[in-house]
Amino acid sequence: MRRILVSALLLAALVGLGFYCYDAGRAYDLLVDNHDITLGENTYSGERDVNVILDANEPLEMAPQDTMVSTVAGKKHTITVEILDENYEVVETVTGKFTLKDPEKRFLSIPAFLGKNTEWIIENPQKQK
Amino acid sequence: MKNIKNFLEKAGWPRVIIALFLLALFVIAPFVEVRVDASISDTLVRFGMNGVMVLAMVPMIQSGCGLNFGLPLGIIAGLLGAVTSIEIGIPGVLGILIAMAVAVPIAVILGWAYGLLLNRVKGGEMMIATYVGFSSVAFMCIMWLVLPYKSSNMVWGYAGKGLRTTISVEGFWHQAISDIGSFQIGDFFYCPTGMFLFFGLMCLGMWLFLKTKTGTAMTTVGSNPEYARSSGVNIDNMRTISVILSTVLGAIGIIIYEQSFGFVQLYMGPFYMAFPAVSAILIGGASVHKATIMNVIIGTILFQGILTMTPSVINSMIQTDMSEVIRIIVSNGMILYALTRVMRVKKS
Amino acid sequence: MTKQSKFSKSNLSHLLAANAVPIVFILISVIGIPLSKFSPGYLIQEMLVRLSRDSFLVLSLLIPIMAGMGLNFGMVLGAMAGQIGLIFISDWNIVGIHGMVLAMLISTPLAIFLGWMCGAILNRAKGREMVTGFILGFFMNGVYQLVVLYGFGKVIPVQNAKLVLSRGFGVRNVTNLEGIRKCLDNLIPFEISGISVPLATFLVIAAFCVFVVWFRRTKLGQDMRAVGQDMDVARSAGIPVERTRLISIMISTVLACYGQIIFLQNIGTMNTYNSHEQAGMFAIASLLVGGASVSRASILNVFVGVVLFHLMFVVSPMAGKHLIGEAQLGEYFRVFVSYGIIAIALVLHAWRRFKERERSRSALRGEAA
Repeated sequence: MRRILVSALLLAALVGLGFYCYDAGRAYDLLVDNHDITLGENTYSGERDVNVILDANEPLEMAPQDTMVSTVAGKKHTITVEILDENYEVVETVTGKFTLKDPEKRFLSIPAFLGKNTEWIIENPQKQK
Repeated sequence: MKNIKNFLEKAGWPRVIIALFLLALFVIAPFVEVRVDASISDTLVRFGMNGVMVLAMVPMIQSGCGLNFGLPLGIIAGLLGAVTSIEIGIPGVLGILIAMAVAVPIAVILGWAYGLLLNRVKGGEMMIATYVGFSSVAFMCIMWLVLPYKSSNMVWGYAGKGLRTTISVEGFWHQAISDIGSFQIGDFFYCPTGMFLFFGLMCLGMWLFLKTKTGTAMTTVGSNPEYARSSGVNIDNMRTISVILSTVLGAIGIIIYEQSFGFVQLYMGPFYMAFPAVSAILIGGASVHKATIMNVIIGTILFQGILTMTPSVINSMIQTDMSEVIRIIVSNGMILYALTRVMRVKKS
Repeated sequence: MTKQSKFSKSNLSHLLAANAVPIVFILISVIGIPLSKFSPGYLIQEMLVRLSRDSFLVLSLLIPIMAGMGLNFGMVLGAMAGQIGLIFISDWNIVGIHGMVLAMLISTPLAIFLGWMCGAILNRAKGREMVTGFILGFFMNGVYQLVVLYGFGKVIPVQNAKLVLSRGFGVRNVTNLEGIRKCLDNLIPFEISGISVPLATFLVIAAFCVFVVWFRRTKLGQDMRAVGQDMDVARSAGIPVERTRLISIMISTVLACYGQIIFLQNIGTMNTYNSHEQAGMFAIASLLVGGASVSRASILNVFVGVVLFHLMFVVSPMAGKHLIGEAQLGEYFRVFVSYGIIAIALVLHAWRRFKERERSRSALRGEAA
């Protein structure tokens, strides 16, 4: 009886591990965007050069109004945005954490993020057009 | 009803299933726009091409050496004969005879050495045969590069030395034997009577041999070694003779194959060639210990029939090319069935 | 009576005979390495990589040998199971170490099933396990192709269109494993004087070795050794012979499955239809080169064998090129050696078994030895 119980627990643990791996390992392509954007009443401009670093990826060097793609694994991430001046020196660093919840929302608006808008991860605005 | 049951038991389910499958394919063929006459012709040609190599399995099975996975050894002898014949350059049936004349002595020597080896390893012959076959093909790969053949039909163009991978026998003895007495009906049906005559000759020879004193001694060695020993038969000698015979038939077989196929395939060509022959004889009803000429004929027809019909019919049916996969499954499945059947016989 | 010194002639010749194969390979390497003009640093790095990549597969062969099943040619089935797991995670786009672990988790049930099937078939072919396993490998290759070339896309849903052939179903010839490439190797980064060492992989291999050593001491392990020595004696001692043999093959198949995944994560790409075929052949050749026989193999044989075999493998083409002017010759040479070594090992094993049987038979007959 005990053996069956132990085997069942072990099996459950392995299945759980499987689901965890699926979750944590699933790779997503995220659109990182530096365009002007209007969310509700607020408008944010993407006029600055920024370096965007997601987790431990290579920094994305973005010009104003730029869009780039980055691949990440799992749902929870950290984001670091380095704002650059005309000489491409870092003047300000903003960090944050985010969790990917909605499968449709894969569009990261950097201006919105810098503007501290909580809804900075949205659906791709191009799609709605 | 009882007769059918007996027949099924004797024939064995796999064989019956395969035969029915083949029949079904032939019946379906016209409905999927596959020409039946072309199919029958192809099957007949392939039957002739492969028959002798399947026949080569018989001596070693009968003498208890198991399935001859080392057939590549004989094939190599045949390749050497074929290549030498092309080097000499005489066309037609004479060219084939020259090829055989060169191949057979080589096959005898190789078979003798191979037989000596197998005699030292009784019980593990099949696995060793496989790897001896593989090793010799790999070894010959080196040799084909190095041997001093010069004929421009055979060597690489720019270097001038080293044999090509595939050598055409067009212009030499392509279909030299097949064409003897052959006839053509319409555009699609070609019957290579010559090959059948030759195969029939080989079968007759084998049948007669098995009836001689040596032949029966060989069979006894395989089915009842103790009795053979007490009758004064030298087991090792008989086994060696069977191996030599098998190797020689393999050499002749590949030459017949090539004259029909049109190409001599060197390097890794012969690597897997034992397997179709093994499958064919097993499909024909042979076991690891016993094989008859009937097994050879039935097995080759069934096996080559499946090989010919499956691609054309199934491809036309489902619009996909499944032939390779089906071939692998059928041929290896047959061998598996035979290998696992041994236990049942021993238990009863 | 004088005491025989340890280095007496018979002892030395016995030592040489027992280890003939590794010695021959050491000779080949000693001759070949200078001929190939490879630098020591390059060779050391290559050997480290190959050790980390191939050892697991070779280690999976130890348990069937222990149980008297000979060389497990059926390990190809485990490799196929692992590859199917990898196809799935590539389809679902799971990356990194999570991807690799998930692949292992998914393919385990399949590997267990295939191992069970293989073991059951081998039990019906006692005395011919190796040939049967060999042919079973080919047969399952056909079934694998049936599933992967025709099933995926039609019967088994595939989300990622990049994996599928242009005709709409069937997996492509080359499956890109970029997502999990070196995920285990680089898990713990480690470098000595410019040579990077895949530490995590070696830790896994070490854990496996510990497992093998521990397993030999368990009851199941002892049972297997008894079955390997003599099936009838084991049966009369009450050991469930068939079940023990079956379990040994099942364990080996699952381990081969993991071994193939580890192998492929190092390479980073998978030849969907070819990768598994080579796995069995090279693993068995490596084990035999290391001095193992069909009836006896140790962990030392595994590592020595992998190094020697791969040394020969890497060195031959270049050595052939510099010696004769044709790299192709070197390549054929290493193919020949790979098959030849298995042939020699099989011959030696069968010959020894045959001699033993002869001896016991003549003892029964009462003849003078």
